[in-house]
Amino acid sequence: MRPIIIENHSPTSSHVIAKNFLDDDFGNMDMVFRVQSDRQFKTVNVTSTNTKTIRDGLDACFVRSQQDIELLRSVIFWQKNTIDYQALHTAFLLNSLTEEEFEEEAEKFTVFQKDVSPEIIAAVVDRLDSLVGINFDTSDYADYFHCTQNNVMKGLSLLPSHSRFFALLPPATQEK
Amino acid sequence: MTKKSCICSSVEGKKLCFKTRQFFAKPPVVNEILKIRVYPFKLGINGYVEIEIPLEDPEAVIAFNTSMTEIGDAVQGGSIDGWSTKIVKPQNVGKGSASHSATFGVANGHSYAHVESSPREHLQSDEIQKRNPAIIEVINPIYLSS
Repeated sequence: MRPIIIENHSPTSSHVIAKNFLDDDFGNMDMVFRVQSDRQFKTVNVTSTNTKTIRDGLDACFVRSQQDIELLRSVIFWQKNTIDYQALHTAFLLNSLTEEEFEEEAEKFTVFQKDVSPEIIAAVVDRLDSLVGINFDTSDYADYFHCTQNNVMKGLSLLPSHSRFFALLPPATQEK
Repeated sequence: MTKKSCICSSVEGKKLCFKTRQFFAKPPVVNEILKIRVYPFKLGINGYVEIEIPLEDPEAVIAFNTSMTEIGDAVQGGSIDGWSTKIVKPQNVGKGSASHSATFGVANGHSYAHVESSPREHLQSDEIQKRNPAIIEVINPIYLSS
């Protein structure tokens, strides 16, 4: 941002484009101007900035918010799946379902464990914590990522500055 | 008959009996080690799991070689997670301690239970300390030394 102060003006006739701006090589310039009037000092501040800078900032903000929405959506789906399964299990405990019927229904909820990169786990756990702030355990994260707890612990060990995550690790890992 | 409560202590057996104040059933997964479907569970707000029937040939079938496998071996934790190759059967509520009732149940088939957070962490949690700031001192003064 480069501020241009225009003095001796009346607010209805200020120079929006200052002379020194026109003196530059403005052949490919795309700029956004911000005009601020100050009644106390009777001045108008015109601030210009490159449009690309603003657009890049807005794009980055949009991309980040989309990623956050996707992350939160995935958590909602995960929790919904868990609630549905627990309802099924409760039905079994209350003898509304036989063991065979329960096993048949449980098949639909079965997932395969997979290897997840510790870096991805660390990034997602860190972001999720800053968004929702709920204390999840390693088994919860393993359930969310469809991976093993060892896999989760490798990810959490990449977040040594977060004492809460580090406390979830066994002492041998904490010493590393 | 070893009893452990440190993080990552675990037991494996053919039949595990448990006591907890908060039972969660989690959706089944195909276990990476056993390559079969298992039913994960979690015991929150203090859990205790003991081997009632041990595995027939632990060395051959054990999933984690750090697990305790003898009859009577047990783990206790603020939070315990595990899995069983068979569905966790209907549970009963009974007297769990002098002041609380608890859920009692069994996990049949090849079952595993693992301490996720120790009882000490549960006692030192914000929730418990808000309700009774003196609880750590009352229950075990040794907790104050760290």
